[in-house]
Amino acid sequence: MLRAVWLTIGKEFLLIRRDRIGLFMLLVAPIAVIAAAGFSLAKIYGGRTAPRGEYSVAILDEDHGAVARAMLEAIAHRPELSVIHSSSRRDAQQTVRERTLAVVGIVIPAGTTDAIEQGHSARLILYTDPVKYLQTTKIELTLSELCRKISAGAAAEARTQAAEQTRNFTQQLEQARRSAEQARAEAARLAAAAAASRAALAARIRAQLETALSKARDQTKAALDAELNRIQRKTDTEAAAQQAKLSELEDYLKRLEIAHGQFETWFGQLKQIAGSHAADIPPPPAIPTLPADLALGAIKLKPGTELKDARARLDSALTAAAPIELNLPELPAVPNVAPVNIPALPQIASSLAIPGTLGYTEVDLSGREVGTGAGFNAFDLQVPGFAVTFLLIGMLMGVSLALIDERDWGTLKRLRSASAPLWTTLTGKLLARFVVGFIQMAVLFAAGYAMFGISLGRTPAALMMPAAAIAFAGAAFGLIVAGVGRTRDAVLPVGAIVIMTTAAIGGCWWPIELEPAWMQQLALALPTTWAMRAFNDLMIRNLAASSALVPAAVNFGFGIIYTVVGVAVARRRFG
Amino acid sequence: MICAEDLRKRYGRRVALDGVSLVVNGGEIVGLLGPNGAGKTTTISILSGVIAPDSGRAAIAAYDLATAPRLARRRLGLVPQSLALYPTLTALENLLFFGRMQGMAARDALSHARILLEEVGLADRADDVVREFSGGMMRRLNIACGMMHFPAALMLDEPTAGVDPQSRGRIFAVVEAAAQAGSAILYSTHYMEEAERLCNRIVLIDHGKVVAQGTDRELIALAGTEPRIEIMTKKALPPGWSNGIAGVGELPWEVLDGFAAAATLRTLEQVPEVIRRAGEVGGEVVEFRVHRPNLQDAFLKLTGHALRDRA
Repeated sequence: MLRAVWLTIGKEFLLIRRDRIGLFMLLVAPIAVIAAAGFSLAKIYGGRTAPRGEYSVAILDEDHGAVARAMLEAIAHRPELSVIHSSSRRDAQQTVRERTLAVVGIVIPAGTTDAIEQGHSARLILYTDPVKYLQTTKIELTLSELCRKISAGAAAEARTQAAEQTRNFTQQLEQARRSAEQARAEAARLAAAAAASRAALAARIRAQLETALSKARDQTKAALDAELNRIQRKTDTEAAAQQAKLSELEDYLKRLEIAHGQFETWFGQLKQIAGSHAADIPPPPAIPTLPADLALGAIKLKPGTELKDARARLDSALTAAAPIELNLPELPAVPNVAPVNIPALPQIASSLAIPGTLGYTEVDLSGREVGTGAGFNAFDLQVPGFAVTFLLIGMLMGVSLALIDERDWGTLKRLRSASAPLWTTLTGKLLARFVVGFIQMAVLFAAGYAMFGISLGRTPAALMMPAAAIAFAGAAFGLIVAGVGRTRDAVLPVGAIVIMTTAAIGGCWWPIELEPAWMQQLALALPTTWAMRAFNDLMIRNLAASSALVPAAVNFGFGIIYTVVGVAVARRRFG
Repeated sequence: MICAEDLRKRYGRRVALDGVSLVVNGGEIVGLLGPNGAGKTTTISILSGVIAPDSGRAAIAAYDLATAPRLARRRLGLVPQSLALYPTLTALENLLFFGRMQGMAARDALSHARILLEEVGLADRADDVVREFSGGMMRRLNIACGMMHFPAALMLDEPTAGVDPQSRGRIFAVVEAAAQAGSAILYSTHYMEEAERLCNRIVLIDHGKVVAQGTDRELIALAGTEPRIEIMTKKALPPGWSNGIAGVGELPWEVLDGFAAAATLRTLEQVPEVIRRAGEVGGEVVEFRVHRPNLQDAFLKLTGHALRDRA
């Protein structure tokens, strides 16, 4: 069965390829209609599709200043505007009144540039023709934008100059501050150098003094040592003599002590002999007691330590000489230069009293900044809108007429006599048309991008979702149309009515927001509405790819419902 | 083999088939002969599985179309009355598509398509789109498409409608070749001559019923139709002019600007005698025409109306 479906798809592609009118309707016709509609309706959407030089403006330059030059230059850069130079105000008025080419006349009065430069407001003079209301409105919008831009440009220029001056002054101050800092640093460096020189000189003098002192000390010490040695030797000699006499004295005292003992013993014995008369014996004369410090052995002639101590004290005095204190005259004091603190300049640019322009920034639903009054590319609406319209033509007519043709040609009968059930034929046609429809959408979007510069949104691949969904829904609806219309003659009006109605109400030809509320509610039941919602979200509103999920899902749902109903109806009609 | 047993079909209150039964054996060409609206297309549509009968049984090569439709369909080939071709495809593409839809491998389909294109005289137009073909060429291609997959049973529904003699001859040759190859062929037509020329047997159908079936001679004999002679003379032939010639029955006959008479004959051998008698009675025989009995007469005799009475 799948083989039959596959073969049917292949055959359908062959049939479509051979059908040049069909291919024309699929691809060339929508591009032609898109171009016509897009260019026709560009003004409504304020898009960028107006042809070059569509509007002519008469300009009289009485100012001959920077503002006038800026205005002329800005107009020259607007492709939809062309300039007719006027020689006088009367000429400008005449141009607007009599020449159909000039929509408005613009006079740039003398002194406009001076007024703007001096901060005053200036007014241009605009000659208009009430009959040319729409064009005038368009040019007024353009002119307002140019005036705003010029004012903003002048203010921006003034701010730029002030900022430049502030920057220069700040740079000069900074340079002075750096010079002062350098001088201060130089003085400090010189002071440090002088101090270092003084310290070096002191050290040098001290070293020389110490050398001299050391030499003198050594000489003194040597002399003292010699003398002390001589005194030492003499003292030692005298001490030895005295020690010898002391030894004799000590020896005498020892003998005296012994004699004293012997006397005591004798005197005792005498008393004993005297017996009773002992008491009559007078006491012997007292022998004086030897003072303790003259006791035997106590008298020692101490070696002469005084001299040694004196030598030590002299050595100590010589070596422990206090460091030489030099009292060089102090350097004259370097005056302390305080750091230069230059206070920051106030921001002149922000504080200058340049009158700013009151403007606004237009932001689309995605947060993207867009040009003020820029509108949108009309083809962003026309390309998907007419692509969907012609897709429906291809799908509805393709499926329904192809089925009727198969029946009329008798091929359906032949296929049914073969082992290919009706559903295989229906499925093959549906899938083939779905693929063709999808390719058709892709080609038309590519052509729209290449030829009309349409936006493909943030994620161009996301456009495939609604494209596939509407192709499926359209192809499936073709089954229903084929079942409702018995013949080609019946299908064509039925299909045309269905296509035109659903395309129009669904917002394929104009923004659905222009329709009354009840019609917008009604449109929710149409796949075109959901397809256009997805395309508008992706391409014009520049939303994320996820915004197309729900509309695409709704259309796939429509497709499934149409398929079920269409197969049932087609079975009754062709089964 | 094609087998139909008591096929019945109604469209609302109108009875399309009322108990049609027939058998076509392999190698046999059976003509389904009847006027427009007799039920030929309905019979072929049921036998080719396009529509289902209200009752009755249809089988192809012993496979019942109701119980084994896939097997039966694989073995049948249909050549519908309308040109069942894709006009924007080439002849070769049409053949390949239908061949492959019947399960043929691409290579087999291509080789057989070339052979068939040769047989139907379209080999040099193989790569031309069909809408540029003449009616006869389309008819020939239409038949070739039905024969692409070597069907055991081939059903042709008025395949020569509106074709030139050259194409008709080609078609006959192809059909006969298919029969010789063993196919059972059911050939629907309202052209008596075709049925006589091509068919081994003929099934006469009218008002959804099979009136009679057999060879052409059997049918003519069955209808009891006789030769007829039409004679134009200088003077009017009075009633009873043929009295005395056994088996001759006078018929009412009038023509403008002359005198004419018509009579049925028992046998063709009576023609000289009848002409001689008319000359004697009518002065001189200016012109005469002998009409041999055919299927038209048989059909007329059997149904009471001519094959082409109803359009």
